[in-house]
Amino acid sequence: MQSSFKTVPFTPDFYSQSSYFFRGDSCLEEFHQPVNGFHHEEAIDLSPNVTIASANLHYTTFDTVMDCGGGGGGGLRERLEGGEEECLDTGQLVYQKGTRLVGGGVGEVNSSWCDSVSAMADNSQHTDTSTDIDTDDKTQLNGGHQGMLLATNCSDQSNVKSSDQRTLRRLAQNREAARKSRLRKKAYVQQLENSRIRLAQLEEELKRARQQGSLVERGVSADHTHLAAGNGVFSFELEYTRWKEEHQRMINDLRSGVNSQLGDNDLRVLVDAVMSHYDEIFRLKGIGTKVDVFHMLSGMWKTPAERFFMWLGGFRSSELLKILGNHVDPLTDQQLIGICNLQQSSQQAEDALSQGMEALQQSLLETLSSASMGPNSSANVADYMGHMAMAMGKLGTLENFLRQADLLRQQTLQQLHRILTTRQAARAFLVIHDYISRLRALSSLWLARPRD
Amino acid sequence: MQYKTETRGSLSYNNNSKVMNNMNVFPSETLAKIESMAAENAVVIFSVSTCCMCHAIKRLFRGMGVSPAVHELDLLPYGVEIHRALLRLLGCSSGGATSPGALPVVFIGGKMVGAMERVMASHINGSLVPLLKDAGALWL
Repeated sequence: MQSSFKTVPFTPDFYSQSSYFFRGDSCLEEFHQPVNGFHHEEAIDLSPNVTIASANLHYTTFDTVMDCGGGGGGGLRERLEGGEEECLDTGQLVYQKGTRLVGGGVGEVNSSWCDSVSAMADNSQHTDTSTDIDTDDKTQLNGGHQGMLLATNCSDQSNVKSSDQRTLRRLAQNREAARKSRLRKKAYVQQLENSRIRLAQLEEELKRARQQGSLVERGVSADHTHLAAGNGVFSFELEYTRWKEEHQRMINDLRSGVNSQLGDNDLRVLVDAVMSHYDEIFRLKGIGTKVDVFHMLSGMWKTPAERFFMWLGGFRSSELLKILGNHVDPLTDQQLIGICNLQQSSQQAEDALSQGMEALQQSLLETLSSASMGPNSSANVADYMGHMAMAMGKLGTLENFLRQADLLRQQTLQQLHRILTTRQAARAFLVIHDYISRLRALSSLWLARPRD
Repeated sequence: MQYKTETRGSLSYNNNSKVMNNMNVFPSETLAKIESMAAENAVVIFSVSTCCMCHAIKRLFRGMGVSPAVHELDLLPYGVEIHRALLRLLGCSSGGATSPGALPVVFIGGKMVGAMERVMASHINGSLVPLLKDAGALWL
């Protein structure tokens, strides 16, 4: 994210520089195309010829050229310095500059770790040449400049002298610039080296994690339920992703149906389809709960902002009704009463289940702490095992709570569907979907926020 | 609405014919005991004192302003028999082990409504409150 923000503004700058370079010389325009990036040599080799062939008039033009060239070099330096702060960025940046990949560059380089690293390796070459050329160019430019001066004002000794001094000063400046450039290069190479080591570490970690994973899997392969739990969680996530895509498609249909003033009967078909699709996710969650209740309770299959609002493995029905608010008006008095009652009863049911969960935690705590703890904890193994079995039994209730919570959600949606007209229900589904989309977008933004 | 009629129907079925035919499975005194216990109050909950879902349903009724009569089966002398009979009434032939949601069981106006999910579903679809009003458990 950051790199794309950074690189975009540089590109026009780069272009403007090269167009400066050839300003006022239309005959050089054709060279504009083949000259890539900072490979100035070709241009420089040609420039003196052009200048000598032309009159003094070009002197000033060339001065600008030089300054701009210098400025451009400075620009490059700034970019390099900016880039050195994050070596991934540099890689992408230099890649862009070196090969003039403007649009797709970032995306391509970003596509995977390996890609970007190989790009970085390639680009280190680019950087080397471009910085070197940068300093060489200046010398060449100076040479050309000087020769040109001599050609135009060869009789004036003082002029030559002052030009010598200027040349010396510029040479000194060049040396200084070259030294700085070498230091930067060193730092950059060091940075690359660091990232290479970091990558190697990450790869090592990944390998170890994979090995552990396979060990765990092999270790419990005798215990089928465990393996099934792992597979079950995985397959739930798969199913959920599939469900989300299907839901999105249905919502799109519904939206276009509402916008195009579709007839009530046709709209009802779409609304009923969304409703029964909701039933499908509750069915899937039911299976997931049986497989791994803690996974469903954790909500790891949802985005962070969705998780923030999560209650017993899903949304709060009463909250959903609050979201709908005045988005589905106008409601008749009867509908209004129905919605109010629904909100109240879902709130009461939620409170009851929450209190049941609290009781569950409390009794689990008591069960686990009532077994003898402390110094003579190993004294009574049977006592310990008995309490553990009891605690296991209590944890089994968790599944029931999750199932009840999902039933509550499902019933609330169904009741909402019954209270509202088809058109209102369609709008309600769209509002709910938009709200969840916003939560997901918020999560993405939050995860991508710059962190210092 | 559909839940209410369904449960009432199944209960009456159990009471009238099935029970008569299976005297050995349903000792008549246990059923009679359940019936009399269920008639004690407008709302009666058969519960287990350590059950957290039972705790939740008690809180649900109290949250609605109803004060139910609660029978903690683990503290009653014939609790186990009553529990078994209730599971039969609910249609859980496999027993309590495979369906932990069986208890609590709720009776309103002497008639069985069902376990937690039935009670919650009828609350959400708006049929529970009229039922409670009819039974005299709720005034407003």
